[in-house]
Amino acid sequence: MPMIRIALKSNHRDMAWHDQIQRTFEALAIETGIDGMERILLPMAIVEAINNIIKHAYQLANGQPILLEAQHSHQTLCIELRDQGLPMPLPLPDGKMTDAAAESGRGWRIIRAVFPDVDYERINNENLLRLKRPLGEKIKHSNPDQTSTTPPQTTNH
Amino acid sequence: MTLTHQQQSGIDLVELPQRLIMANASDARSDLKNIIEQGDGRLVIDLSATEYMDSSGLAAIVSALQAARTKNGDVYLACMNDTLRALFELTQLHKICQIFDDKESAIAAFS
Repeated sequence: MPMIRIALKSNHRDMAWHDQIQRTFEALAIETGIDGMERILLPMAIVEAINNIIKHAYQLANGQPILLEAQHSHQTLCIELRDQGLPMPLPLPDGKMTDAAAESGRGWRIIRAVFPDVDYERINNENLLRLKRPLGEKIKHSNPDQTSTTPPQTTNH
Repeated sequence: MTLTHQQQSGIDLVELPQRLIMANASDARSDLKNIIEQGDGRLVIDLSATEYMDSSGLAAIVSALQAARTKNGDVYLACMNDTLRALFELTQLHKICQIFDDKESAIAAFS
């Protein structure tokens, strides 16, 4: 399985990591045949997952480690994000917008639109968020309101 | 001020940057609120230069919308590219914001 590995430091004022994620995953989307709007949404969803780590796990503290690993086969793309910040509150958001006027909740909506399969583990004081999507076919329902999402999972070690 | 701001026909007109993301969204949010507080709450946001937004950028727009409506005003969006339009639809912002093809139409809609 081809692998991408990116080590970042949290910095909510930095645009450089943003560019790196954008370039890397736009290229991966092309390589893996993800097209149309999903090609644009793939890097966006990963940016949103990293934003969540910086904002919530690290509470905007700079210089904290984030490790991203991406692997894909012909059938599946799997992104793993690791950080050493605060645990994620459970259950994970389902991406449904019950109030269109709410300020928050849109990051998870984008994540769930691209990755129908999301799970989370807390292992040895480290967060591991795993985002998966099938390749070779479009996600049939890119609107999370219409998608039956995988129930959030967690394992405490 | 991170935004380009001017007045046209008594309407505040703001141009957002190329990217509105976590790195600059909090500054943009403050600037938009200041403009709304100092004006009469009628704001047109010109997105012709904006290629990309993340959820922080979207939240800054929602915040501006709430501030404007508190003053019985509104925020109209103009010149949105196809990517942003699809993002607005996915995140349901198209349900709460009025979107115009060009800023002249948005300004005229306030008249």
